[in-house]
Amino acid sequence: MHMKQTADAHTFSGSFITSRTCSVEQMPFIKVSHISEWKHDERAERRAYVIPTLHADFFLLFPSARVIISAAGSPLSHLAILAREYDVPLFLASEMDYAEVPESGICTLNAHT
Amino acid sequence: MEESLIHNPTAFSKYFDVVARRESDRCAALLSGGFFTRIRFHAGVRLFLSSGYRDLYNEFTQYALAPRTDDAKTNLRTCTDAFAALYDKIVYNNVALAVQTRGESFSIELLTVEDEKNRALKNIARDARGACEAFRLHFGHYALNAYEVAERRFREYTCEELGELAAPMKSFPLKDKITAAQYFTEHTGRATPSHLVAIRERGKSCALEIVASIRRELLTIQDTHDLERPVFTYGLDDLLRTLP
Repeated sequence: MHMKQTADAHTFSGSFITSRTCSVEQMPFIKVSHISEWKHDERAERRAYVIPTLHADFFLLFPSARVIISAAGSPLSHLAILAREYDVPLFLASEMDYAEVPESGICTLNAHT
Repeated sequence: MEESLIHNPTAFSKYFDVVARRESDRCAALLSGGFFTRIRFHAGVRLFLSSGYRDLYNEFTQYALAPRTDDAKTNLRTCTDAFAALYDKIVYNNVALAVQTRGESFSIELLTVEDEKNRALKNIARDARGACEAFRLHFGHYALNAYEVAERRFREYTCEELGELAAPMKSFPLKDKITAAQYFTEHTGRATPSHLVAIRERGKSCALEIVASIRRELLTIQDTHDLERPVFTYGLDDLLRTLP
């Protein structure tokens, strides 16, 4: 099972596809299946976003993203290119069962080397 | 998780997913085919990277939709066939990009269409004069979940809605780069990742022009025909059989 749930944190296993990484310790996350479901809040702290795939629409998350965790996508996709360009850590958790991920919570990242 | 072109596609939009997957599978089959198949395919890719990519860039920048006729079925067939033909070229370009980069990281040294769209959004967020109209003019055929034909296009948004969409971009430091046209003028040798990504994004813009045209056609059909259910719930073949 790629995603473990403890009482306090979910663990996403995978690897960073950007050279910029981030701390893998516990951090708040929200799940964004479609960009229209997400509302920009200037006052919100930077957080982890869990997205289903590397669609270009999710570029709008960059200004408030601490890390973007995607269930699928290619390192050649435009969002991955932009993540490298704008130094936004991008984590590919390709074995994630996206449907099982809750809408929000605390997560840690288990990064393969 | 298998990647789809569209989030929760409607029955009609599954056509675009099918086309995208078919073209990707075709390229994958050519790459993993027999010895001579692979030799021919790689020779074609080498020629493309040498000079063919410039022809494709020109084709995409000069792309024009076929004129509409009075017959809805003809218009739908023309547009969907055009989408398939165009997407075939986008996928081929993507394969060339994968071959050219061979898994290495790379940076893009020009403004792609997507970059220009983000800049235009930032202008809206900063209340720049005329930004809303300029965005609708150049990027009105785009949408959120853009290949989903049931999604409103940005040209259907009010300025207030575009303002809400653009809000995250207000203070985001977008990078300054040269235009794609300038880059293609200055770099005339073998294709670089910048060339190929620019072609891909320009191709996407053309593909979305077709999707927007199909959307207009479907909404017209919805208004002028007595359909049993909403037009987007019909698959392409189903709709063509239903129309007189």
